[in-house]
Amino acid sequence: MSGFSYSTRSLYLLLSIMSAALLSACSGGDGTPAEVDAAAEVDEAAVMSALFGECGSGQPVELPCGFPLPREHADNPLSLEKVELGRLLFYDRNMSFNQTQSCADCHLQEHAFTDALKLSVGSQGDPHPRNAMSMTNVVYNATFNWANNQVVNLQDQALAVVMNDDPVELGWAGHEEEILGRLKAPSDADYAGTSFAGGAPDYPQLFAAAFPDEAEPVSLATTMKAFAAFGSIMISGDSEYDKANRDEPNNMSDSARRGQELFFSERLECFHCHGGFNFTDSVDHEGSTFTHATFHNNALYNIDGDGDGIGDGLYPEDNHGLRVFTLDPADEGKFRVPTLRNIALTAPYMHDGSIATLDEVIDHYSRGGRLIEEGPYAGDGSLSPYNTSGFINGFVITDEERLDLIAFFESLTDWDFVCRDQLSDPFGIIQKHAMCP
Amino acid sequence: MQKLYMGATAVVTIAGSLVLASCSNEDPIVESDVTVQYAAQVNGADFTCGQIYTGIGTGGDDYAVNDFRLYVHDAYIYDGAKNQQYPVELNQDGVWQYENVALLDFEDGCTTGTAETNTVLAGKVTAPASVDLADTQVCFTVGVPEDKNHLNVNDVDAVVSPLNDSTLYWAWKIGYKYVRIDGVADPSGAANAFVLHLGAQGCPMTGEMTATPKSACTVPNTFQACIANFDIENDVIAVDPAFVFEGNDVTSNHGAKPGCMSFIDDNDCEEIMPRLGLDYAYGRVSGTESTYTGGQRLFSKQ
Repeated sequence: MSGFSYSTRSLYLLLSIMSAALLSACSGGDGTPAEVDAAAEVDEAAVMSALFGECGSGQPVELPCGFPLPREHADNPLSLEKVELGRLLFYDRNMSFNQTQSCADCHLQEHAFTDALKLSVGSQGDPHPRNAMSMTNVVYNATFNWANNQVVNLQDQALAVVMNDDPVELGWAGHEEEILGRLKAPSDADYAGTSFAGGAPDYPQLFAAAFPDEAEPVSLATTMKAFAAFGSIMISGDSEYDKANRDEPNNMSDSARRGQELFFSERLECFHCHGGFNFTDSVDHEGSTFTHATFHNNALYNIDGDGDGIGDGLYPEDNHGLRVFTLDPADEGKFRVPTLRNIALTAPYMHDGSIATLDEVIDHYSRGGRLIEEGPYAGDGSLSPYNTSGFINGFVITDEERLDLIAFFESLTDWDFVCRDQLSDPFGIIQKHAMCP
Repeated sequence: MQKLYMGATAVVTIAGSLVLASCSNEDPIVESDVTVQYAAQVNGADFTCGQIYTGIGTGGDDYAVNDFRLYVHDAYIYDGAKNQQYPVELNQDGVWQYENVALLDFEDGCTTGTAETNTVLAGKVTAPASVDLADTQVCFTVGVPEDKNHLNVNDVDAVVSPLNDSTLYWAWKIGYKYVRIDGVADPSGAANAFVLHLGAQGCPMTGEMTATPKSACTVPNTFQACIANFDIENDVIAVDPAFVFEGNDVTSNHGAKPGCMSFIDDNDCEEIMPRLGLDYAYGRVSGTESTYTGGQRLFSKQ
């Protein structure tokens, strides 16, 4: 059984019987010894999740088969009300100060929730120094952003983005009262031209339903928590690769299967950083016992800083990576490993969008590091003093093997995720991928 | 002066001072209301939002200031004769001063700030009467102390004014902007944004972004300023970024950020940090260390 059985039609019904569902999911079902266990398990199950369950569990949000349970924030236990509210907020352009941009404008579903730009642009036209990351499986991120070891949960990430003033993204700094005012008293005029033209979303009621214990349901904190809740359900695990991996009917080609073998081979070594259920070593979930907040230098730059003609491993001035936070020169050029799920949809690649195609990504790794021959960023990444992981040594790959590897990457596209209604624009403005039914 | 006995509960208020019981009436402890006054200037001229000042930086260029705010904490009077510090206990006004932290806000709107201003530290000093508040040394630390620098700004109950201003918080990086001086150099020509945003660096990873780190940030970037021979009642402390920028060409930027925002690899910070009494060694990637050794230049007696 694959994927989601999340139905908005049964949203309220599921909510009203949620506690009963948790019980029944744990019990043996026939009321005998398993029921005794179920009683003891109730408390444990109750704190696990009101939202997520494994495939076939009947929970409101069923995880892809084999996926671990995401870790929920103790301050933000998830619920369907929070998720639906968060979906509206995510797509609502009134969530930028100048009302031109929403989260979705840099995280478009048709591009697996990135924006197909080399570098993103904020609501006031400010260029961002980095490429927008795909939100595929963000709930499993150990840390957020390309190289930030301090943002570790989705509600903090939402706060950081809305408040960022360098560059201005959604532009909340200094304006949060006004923007929250749009949620406390929504104006129909702000929704002209959307599917809510007949009447603005009833945010006061939606917030009250999502945050029933708050004296003031609409606040900075609750808005960030709602964003986090919606982000949490962007879960992708039903690509052709996944179906093949579970021995389900699938369309994974022989070429892609050969590519899979190459990917997991010691010749290519891709899996060392891009392994695991989410094709990245930077993951966190409910079962994680150790923190995997890892960052790697993948030999993109090796700039000569002191002019002696020898590369010092430096990256461009606005993208030193983890070193910006730790101040440790050894962290120069270290970035978080993004997931490879849906990677065929998320070009251009790398933290600065500096590699345009998957074929060029293969060039980069097969060479063992990028050579930039001239200009201010000149240098040979394969000779970087920071390229010390031992896994980026270059490899030989034939033209046919390249095609196989790319076919494998394409087999990681999860069309159910890319076309899923529950993740799409409730305002009817942003269209899904042209391939969606 | 009325003679006071040990253990006496009666006190006499004289000219705004509270004379407390002491073992001897020769040098009684006195509680005084004090107001430390600051005045924002740019190259010696009074600061007004948007006004264009001249002679800034190595090129002597024009400079318009659009934001001018900073946090200070742990202000005290230092008496050299006694070699003693006497803290300025800030009045808890619920707006500008919270525990030992105060926000000085010299801009009345400009672009990012608020209409309200605050140019004083208002509080009480408890010290022997012989400590002459008309000729003393005032010291204070610029910045937000570590124990308040990582508050959860999502929690409106945890964050009180003046620590609840989102334009003074680095949301994606732990901590506050201790100093926010924003401006544009050569407004009619190069129109180069040149700012000073000072804040902590090297803050260790926490389980939460909005939580106090388990260990202190390795580069707190707070700095102390002391003004000597200061008459608390009559003197004013000038706050002037012109001297901080005197080693920079403000019409261009030499780092990824406009001006100096405290981050690494920003050559604009090389001449600015030492003029705040700070060391930019932590951030040096390919820049050259300044030869300036004169200590902080932001504050002086007006």
